[in-house]
Amino acid sequence: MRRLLSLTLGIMTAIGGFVDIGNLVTSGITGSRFRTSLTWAIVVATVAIIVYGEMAGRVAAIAGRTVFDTVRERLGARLALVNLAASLALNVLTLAAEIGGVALSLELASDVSYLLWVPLSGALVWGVAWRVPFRRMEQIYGLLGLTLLVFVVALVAGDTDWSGLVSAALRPAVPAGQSDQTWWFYAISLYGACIVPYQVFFFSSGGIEENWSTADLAEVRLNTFVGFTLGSILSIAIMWAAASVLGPAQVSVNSLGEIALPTAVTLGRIGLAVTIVGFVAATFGAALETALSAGYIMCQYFGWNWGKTMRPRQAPEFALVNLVVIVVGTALVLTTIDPVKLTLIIVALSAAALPLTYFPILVVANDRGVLGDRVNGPVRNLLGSVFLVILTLAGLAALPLLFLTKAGQ
Amino acid sequence: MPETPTPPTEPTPGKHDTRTWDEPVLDVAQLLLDRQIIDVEGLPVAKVNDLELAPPAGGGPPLLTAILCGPTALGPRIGGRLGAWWVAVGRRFRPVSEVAAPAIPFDLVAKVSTTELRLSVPVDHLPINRFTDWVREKIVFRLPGGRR
Repeated sequence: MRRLLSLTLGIMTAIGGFVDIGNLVTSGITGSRFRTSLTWAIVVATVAIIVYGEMAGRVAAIAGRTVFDTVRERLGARLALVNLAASLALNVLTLAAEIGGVALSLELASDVSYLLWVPLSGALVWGVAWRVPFRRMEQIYGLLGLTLLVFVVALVAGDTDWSGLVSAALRPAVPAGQSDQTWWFYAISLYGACIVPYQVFFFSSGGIEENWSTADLAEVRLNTFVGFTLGSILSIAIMWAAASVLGPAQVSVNSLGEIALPTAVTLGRIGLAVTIVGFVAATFGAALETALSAGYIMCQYFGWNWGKTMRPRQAPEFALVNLVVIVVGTALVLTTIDPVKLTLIIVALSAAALPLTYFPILVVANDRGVLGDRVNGPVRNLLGSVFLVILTLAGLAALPLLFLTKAGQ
Repeated sequence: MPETPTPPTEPTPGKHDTRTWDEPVLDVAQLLLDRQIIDVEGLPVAKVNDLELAPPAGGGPPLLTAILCGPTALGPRIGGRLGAWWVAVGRRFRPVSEVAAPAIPFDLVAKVSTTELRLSVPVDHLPINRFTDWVREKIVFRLPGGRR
């Protein structure tokens, strides 16, 4: 019974923790502009994150090794430093966007300008990262994030044209009036939003914080397979709800308010309230994950002691990095940079930076010196290689498309 | 950076060995660089940034004497202008009394595996904690709840 409870809790946490500002923004915009024609991008990205998440989880559970540890060992001091710098910069930008997302959600709920909520949100993120125990922290935002299921409820309760949505999703084509470039740009953004690098850093380091061992392998796999799959369904639901309500009404998405509109229209005040809780939980949780990930990768590159389960005196550098990135991230949002636009740029940059992180995972998941006979089988290697090619192609296309489309305008 | 891999005192065939079994050689750089160093209690200490080799007193081929840590050891491996800058920063922060990069004598290494080096002493017995100690005392202890 206890085991079952822990399994359920783990999966629910994985579902709730999957969605962040990147998923909210990209799903909302693409739904309103391209209907469901980009659903495939979320599906492809989800399979990729499941394949690589499972490898990272297995390496963490069996060998007790994290992703960035293997990055430095396999890429060497120099290339790993390039990866560290890129990942840290992305982490800080993502953290800023997430804090902006928390503040924008609170603005939706309160009518008080988001800029006033920014310092409070930043302070709260640091407070939770500093004091709340790891498992409790993950469970709180994971479970609260499940309130985003309200988008599924809105789709079911509203007068949704299911056959239209499904046929547009199954026969992907650039809708009339939209350019091919923007369509592809948003395909890459959806995919970059699903597999942002901080997620694998957090996933593997978090596993070590929770003392995963070989015995937990089945649970780890279940979390990645079921949790990530259901999590991506939330992303799809947000896109489809936008396609169903915003698309026909010609509403263009420029802020979180419009992304919340479908649930508000269909389910009224209660729907909106639940949506805002979901937005806050998703962005707040992701803000914590990005802040902690910055600490993880920095300490793992330099070999310092790390961990939220450590006392600050035992891992002082980790505590310092957390504090610094949260202060810098908060300061960035306070420059009044638009968190939604920032998010679009970040997801494209994430797509460009991914291969440097995913390649070492694939190499280590094949190393018998590390994993014994738990190395990748032929199917996993085939999938891993196919996705590495896709990752690389998308990574190469991401920056040109970002500039050509002026971040999807 | 050692230019040539040194034959260890008791040669054993290594994983990356390309030669025949008659002539076993361990590539120390391949085996040790960028590996995690763990202390006797299992706590992470640092990464192997570089290695120190010295000719033994009685002559003969150089022996592996110490593991080098800290920015002055990492900089040359990064190379270029950034590497030089890295070294300069490391030097600037080093007390005048210390001449060389922080080093862990190789005698203190108890076990070497493919992924890590395990030491026979706890981390606070090592002369490589200046930055950690500084962060702990000057920053972390001053935060509310930082001493817990």
